[in-house]
Amino acid sequence: MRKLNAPILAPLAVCILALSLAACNGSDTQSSVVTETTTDEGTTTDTSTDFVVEVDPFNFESDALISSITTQTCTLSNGDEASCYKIDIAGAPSNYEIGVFCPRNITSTADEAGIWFDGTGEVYDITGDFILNLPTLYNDNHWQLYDEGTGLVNVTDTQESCDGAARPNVEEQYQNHCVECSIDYVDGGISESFLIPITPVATTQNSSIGNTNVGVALNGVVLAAPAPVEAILGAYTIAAFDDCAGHINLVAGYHYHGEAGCSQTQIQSDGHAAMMGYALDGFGIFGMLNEDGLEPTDLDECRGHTDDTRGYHYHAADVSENMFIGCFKGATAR
Amino acid sequence: MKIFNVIKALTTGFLLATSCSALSHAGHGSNVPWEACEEKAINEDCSYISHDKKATGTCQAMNKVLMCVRNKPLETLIDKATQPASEQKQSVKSLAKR
Repeated sequence: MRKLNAPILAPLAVCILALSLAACNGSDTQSSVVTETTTDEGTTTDTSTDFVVEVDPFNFESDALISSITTQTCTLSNGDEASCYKIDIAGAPSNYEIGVFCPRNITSTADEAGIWFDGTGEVYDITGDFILNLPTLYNDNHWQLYDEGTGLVNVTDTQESCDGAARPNVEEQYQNHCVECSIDYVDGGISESFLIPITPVATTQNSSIGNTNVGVALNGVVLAAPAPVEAILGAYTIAAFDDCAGHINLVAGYHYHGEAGCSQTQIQSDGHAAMMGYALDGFGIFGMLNEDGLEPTDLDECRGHTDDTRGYHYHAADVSENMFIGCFKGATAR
Repeated sequence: MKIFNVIKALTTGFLLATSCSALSHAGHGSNVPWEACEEKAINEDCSYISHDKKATGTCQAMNKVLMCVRNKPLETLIDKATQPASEQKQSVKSLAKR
């Protein structure tokens, strides 16, 4: 395991901020009517935060952590002094092997590669057909991710090419590449420490998601802020995810940008969506759908609500939406 | 060594920031959640349509830029042209209730 390189994070943060300031063109207009919805009408929940549930260290998978969870005093974002858990995650999933990312040629099937999503509500299997269809999908004939002579897909299959492409400012030579990195490049995973308030403290004003992490998954993987898809696509690259919506770069290691169900390790006996992680404010994050495949209808602006068993908690967005929650309802550790 | 790291970080940061700003204007139609909040304030209602689905939520800041964060279940859309006239009438009625 490798420790996070803090000096690299600062410029990365600046970059993400900069690209986020963009106002780009392109919109969908359709003549349509609403006919179908999938909702969880029977849920009797609200969005009050009167009832909170403490963080439970035993919810984490044993191999998800590189050391025992300890307690220490912390200062929260609202100025309160509190007790926090110090959680050192392994930075690699404890419950599965990291999957494949990029297809190798234009005949590859869904089983031979991972997925891609751009935040607009669709998940694509990165098949050979997907690679062939990129100019149509993104309405730009500059897309050419494969060799027309051999049918082989351009993949960043060395550490050097991974380093040059798995970043917001993709080096020009790696444009029109499917980007992937091996977990071996980061020694099996980048461990990271998180301070999370043991007892979540709801605040009167929600806090926005920044450009860093949103929380931690119960299997030891970072829940990252939305991926900078406009920058990725602007460089004619696909930053391929494995089927669990995770991918690797040399700064953050393996991390999630969406909730694909791979970290939903805490099944709920009442049919509620399974728990998959904790947000940095200590509130639990659960899957989007309950066991009947229904999504709550009463989520607040942060994608949270309250019930009698779990108190206030979040429901992750769909994997295709390139995010987990909308904001922090509670105070985070400084 | 620390000074070298700081210089390296600042230089890299500048390059990343400028290049990302340029790239982010490329425009690939993948930014509808952001476009839905371009003229709105935080917590204001928003919606957008993409891939035959309608998302409804509120504008929230992600990386200091507002985007539409869905907090209602996705609604599947069916094009009027492919829908029988009788169902169209029913669908319009259900829309009016909203």
